[in-house]
Amino acid sequence: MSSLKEEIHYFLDRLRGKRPARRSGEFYALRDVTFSIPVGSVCGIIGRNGSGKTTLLKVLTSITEPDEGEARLRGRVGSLLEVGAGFHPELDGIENIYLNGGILGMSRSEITSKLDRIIEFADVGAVMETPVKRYSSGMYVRLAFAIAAYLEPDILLVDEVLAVGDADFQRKSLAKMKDAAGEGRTVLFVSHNMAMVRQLCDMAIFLEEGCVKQIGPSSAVIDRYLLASTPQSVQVQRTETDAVWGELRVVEPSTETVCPHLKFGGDYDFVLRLGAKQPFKRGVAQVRILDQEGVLISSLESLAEGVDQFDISEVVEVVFSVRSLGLLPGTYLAGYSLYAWGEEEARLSAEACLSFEVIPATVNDAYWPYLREHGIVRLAHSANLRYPLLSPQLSDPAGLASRPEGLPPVE
Amino acid sequence: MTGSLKRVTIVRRRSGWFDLDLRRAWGHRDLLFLFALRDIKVRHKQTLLGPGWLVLQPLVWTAVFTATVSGVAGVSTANQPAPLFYLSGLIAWAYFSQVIHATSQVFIENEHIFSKVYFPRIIVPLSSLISNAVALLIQFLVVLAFLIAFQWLGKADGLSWRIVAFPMVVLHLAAFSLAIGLLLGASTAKYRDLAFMTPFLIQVSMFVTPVLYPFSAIPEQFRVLASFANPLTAIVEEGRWCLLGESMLSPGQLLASLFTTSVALGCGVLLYQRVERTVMDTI
Repeated sequence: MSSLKEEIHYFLDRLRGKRPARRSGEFYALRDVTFSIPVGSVCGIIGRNGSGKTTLLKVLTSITEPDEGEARLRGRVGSLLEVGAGFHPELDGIENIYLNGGILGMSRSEITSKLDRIIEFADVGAVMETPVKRYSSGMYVRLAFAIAAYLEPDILLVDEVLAVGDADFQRKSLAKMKDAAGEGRTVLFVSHNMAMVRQLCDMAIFLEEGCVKQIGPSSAVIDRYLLASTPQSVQVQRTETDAVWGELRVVEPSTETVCPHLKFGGDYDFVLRLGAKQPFKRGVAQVRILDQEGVLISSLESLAEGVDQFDISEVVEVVFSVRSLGLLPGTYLAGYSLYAWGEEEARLSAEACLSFEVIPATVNDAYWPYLREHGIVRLAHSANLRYPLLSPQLSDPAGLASRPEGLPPVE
Repeated sequence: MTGSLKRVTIVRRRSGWFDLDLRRAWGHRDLLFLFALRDIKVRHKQTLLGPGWLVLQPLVWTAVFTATVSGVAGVSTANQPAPLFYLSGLIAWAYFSQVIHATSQVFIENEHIFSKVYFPRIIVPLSSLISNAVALLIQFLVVLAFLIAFQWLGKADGLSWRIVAFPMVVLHLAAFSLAIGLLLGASTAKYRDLAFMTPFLIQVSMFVTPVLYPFSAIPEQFRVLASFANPLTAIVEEGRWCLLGESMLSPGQLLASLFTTSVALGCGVLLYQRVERTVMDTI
């Protein structure tokens, strides 16, 4: 915030026609951002925190003015920067539907025609008639989203609003956005969730420090973003004692390239490279996978997997092949230990020498990705539907279903 | 092609002071009534007397003034019955104070909604003009009741066709209240301590406006200056003319007041619009 003195100087400079230098503390939140989005596309806007994504949406929704440049939006613009904008706690659900709907740009008659559907979508029940301040946070968010969902604008700008609310709500909102796209509306979707962006968006814009780094089909842009978030060289730590040393890497099986980002459900090899300065007999290797707090999630044991005790003359690699990675999205640590058969104490140990991240992905072409809140691990399973046939007595005591018309019911 | 019939919104920097984008504001006019209605509803939710307060407050003040200012201090009430005199001045001043109270902190109070959704920001002060006008209407009816009562009792004879001009007075009042409200609202957005001025300004205005004393108490040579410096002076007197009949207001004074009101309103709107553009980055 500039002081009054600075303001006056700035103002006088402008009057004199001088183009004043940038005032202290200013920087460009967006610079030379140029793009056009065709009608009916769903465009994801991705980038690190502070890269200008929210500012871009704020400019497009006229909440803040650009210093230079122009944007043209054809059609009705609806924005979801936060659900429930304008809700007044003292008013009840129905009154707030009209208030919020009006603020979002719907006319009174439009709201009245959609009122029943909105109430049904919100599914908050009898509390509709009580002041909103009494609602639970879940009800509040459901009501707010229900109103926004029926806004039906030509262009919808959404800012990570879906990060709020439980998994059920997120599912509903994602479905609604997909519907919007299907109806030929244009959607701009700011998100950190790459799986959602991959699922929902056909194109994406990658912003970094206010500039457009890449724009194009979503998969390509997402990959570029992930690459940019990865440190270029991955340092492999070597742990050693007088007798032995070890290095742990996670690699992609076919290419042997090291990956710090693992895709959920993907195939990876945990490769433990061990070297001995003096001959080492009857070794047993163990790789441990821990969560961020250091809680042990799983141990990969050479002996338990059928690898006999091994000798290390110079170098050996113990390869643990993990297929269909069941670790749910999150950050993990890995460590290892080398034992000599029969001994309690490990000859070589590294507590947490490697850190890696599991990124969300879907399995088996499913519509919905596995996310952090599903737990720690996905048990290998598949899900199916079947429709059991119950015996007629149990499901239909009066026999109304199976009796032909006109005959009296069974006693 | 339906695509070409759709409205195009252009987002760009508004240049200079006069680029007001009024067309967009007109497009959002429904919000005016929506907000006014909301404010009225909320004001009376979970209250005991509800709109009763609107009637009670000015009556209590009138009683107090009649007893103390007129009774004890003996200040003149321009040949009118004291209750009528004070009531007619009070309702105008009350409207002014309510509007500027509501508008002076508009950006700070509405920050959460301004930063999430777009609509022309001027709608909020305009809607407070409307919601307070409803209160004014109720109070006007109370004054009318008093007028009729006093007329019937033979104590006053001011009630006449002049009362039809009251809406014009309200317009003048609204314009000036809006002007001050916008100026305050725009200033406090950037410099928060200016908000402390508002209650002070409200209190001072009651004394520098002829609410407690008649317009005629101002020396003749200063009346134009007074109307120029404080347009409320003339506004209150206009109100008294409509309702009570007698007035010392000359056209010159009226014009002075209107001049200041227009200038203030113009500055208020321009400053407010200018601040509106980027206030969400600094608030």
